[in-house]
Amino acid sequence: MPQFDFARVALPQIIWLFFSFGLLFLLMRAMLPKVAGVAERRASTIGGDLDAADKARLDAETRREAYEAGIAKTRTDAQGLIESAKADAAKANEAKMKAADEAAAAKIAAAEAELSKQRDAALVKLDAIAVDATQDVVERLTGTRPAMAAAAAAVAQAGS
Amino acid sequence: MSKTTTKKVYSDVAGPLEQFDIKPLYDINVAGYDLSLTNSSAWMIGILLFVWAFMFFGMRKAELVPGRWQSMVEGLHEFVVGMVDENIGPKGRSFVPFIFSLFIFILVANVAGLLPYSFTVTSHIAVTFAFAAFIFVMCILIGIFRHGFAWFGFFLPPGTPWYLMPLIIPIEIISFLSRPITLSVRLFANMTAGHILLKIFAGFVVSLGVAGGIWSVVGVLPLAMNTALYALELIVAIVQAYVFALLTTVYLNDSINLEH
Amino acid sequence: MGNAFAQGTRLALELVAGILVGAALGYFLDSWLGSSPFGMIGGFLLGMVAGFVNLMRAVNQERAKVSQAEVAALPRVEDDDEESLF
Repeated sequence: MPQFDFARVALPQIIWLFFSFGLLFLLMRAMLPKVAGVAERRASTIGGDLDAADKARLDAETRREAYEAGIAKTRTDAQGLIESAKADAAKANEAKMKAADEAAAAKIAAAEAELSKQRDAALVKLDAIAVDATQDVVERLTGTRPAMAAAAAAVAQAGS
Repeated sequence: MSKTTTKKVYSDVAGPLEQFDIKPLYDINVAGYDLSLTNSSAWMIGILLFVWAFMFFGMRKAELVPGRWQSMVEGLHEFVVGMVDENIGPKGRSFVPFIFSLFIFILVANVAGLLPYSFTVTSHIAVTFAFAAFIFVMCILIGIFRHGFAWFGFFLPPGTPWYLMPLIIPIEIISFLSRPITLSVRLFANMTAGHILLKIFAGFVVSLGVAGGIWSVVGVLPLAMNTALYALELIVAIVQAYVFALLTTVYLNDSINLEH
Repeated sequence: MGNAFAQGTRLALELVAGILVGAALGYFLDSWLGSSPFGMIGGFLLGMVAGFVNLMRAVNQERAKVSQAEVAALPRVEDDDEESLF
């Protein structure tokens, strides 16, 4: 085997190996940081992108929550508004009813008062008519007309 | 150069061992030492240029969204980083360039050796042992540098009874010393054996084809065998590069993190 | 594919390397102390033991790796607690 012919084969190979491998090592030592750097940069970029996406997601989440809270608030506000409007309306209604009742009561009272006044008046007139009628009847029967005061006393006596 | 004598010994017309021979391309002599540019050194330079081009053009743009080529470079880097992290831990990060260079150099050398007419750098024990010896010395130096004298406790497993020490310590030393041998011989043997097998079966194909007649038909069998072997060798080439790098991280771990 | 073969050669190699290193150490000890052939014999035997130790370690390592692979191959429940945006 030529490989074991060391005297001829070993030294030039070892020298050239030292030279070429040494150069290769120096080249690789100079070049590998770039390779590692790219990988690192990629990792950090991907990490940054993921972070940004996560942040965007969180942002959207908070926005959605705020939106939902806004809707809920609006809804409760509207509900409150409706409630108060209802209450106001009921109050106004009540007041109106009360006013109307009062007006009606006043009118009834007035009408009753008028009625009793007129009745009193009528009753006074009726007495006068009765006295007159009594004077007439007595005049026709007796031919003399009684005094007005006597007739009135008789009417009052009969009426009671 | 003893060019003529080697020719006589090794070039018996496409013998299965001829592919491992070192052929000088350009003679260089420095202070009496033979440093000729050979087919082996040419392939080493080729590997160097290939890896440089692979890395340079793969990472030229270094985009955040990588293309196919850049993904390959990054995947390879990630693979090595994972291996180092798993076997050494965070302290091993500074060794990533070395492990990466080792892995990619051996990987390209192994796979390039499967190309026709190519030379497999890693099929030479001198090369694999140079790697293994370098790693071995590096492990010892790192161990002593990081842990001082305490590192020699590595040769004494915890809980050893005192009367077994004279036996255990030599065994541990032998075990430790055999690391560079297993590391280098494994790679060398795998590369050499596979290439010899490929060559022998290819020789069968040729000689059966030349024999003509019915033999040419029979020649299909070693051809099919060679195809299957080729696929197997591709896997072996990748696995052996991986194993070499993996064991290097395991050995480095013993020097960096004192387990006991 | 070829895994068993690769593992087998690896284990054989561990044993052989242990013996080789042990014998070499014994040889150097002999040439240093002139204790031939006892250093070589002792080194060979120690090397054999060291080879077996290495072999056992390699097997254990392999086994640990396999059991790890088995754990990794266990079916896993996909975590589908991915929260939808809304």
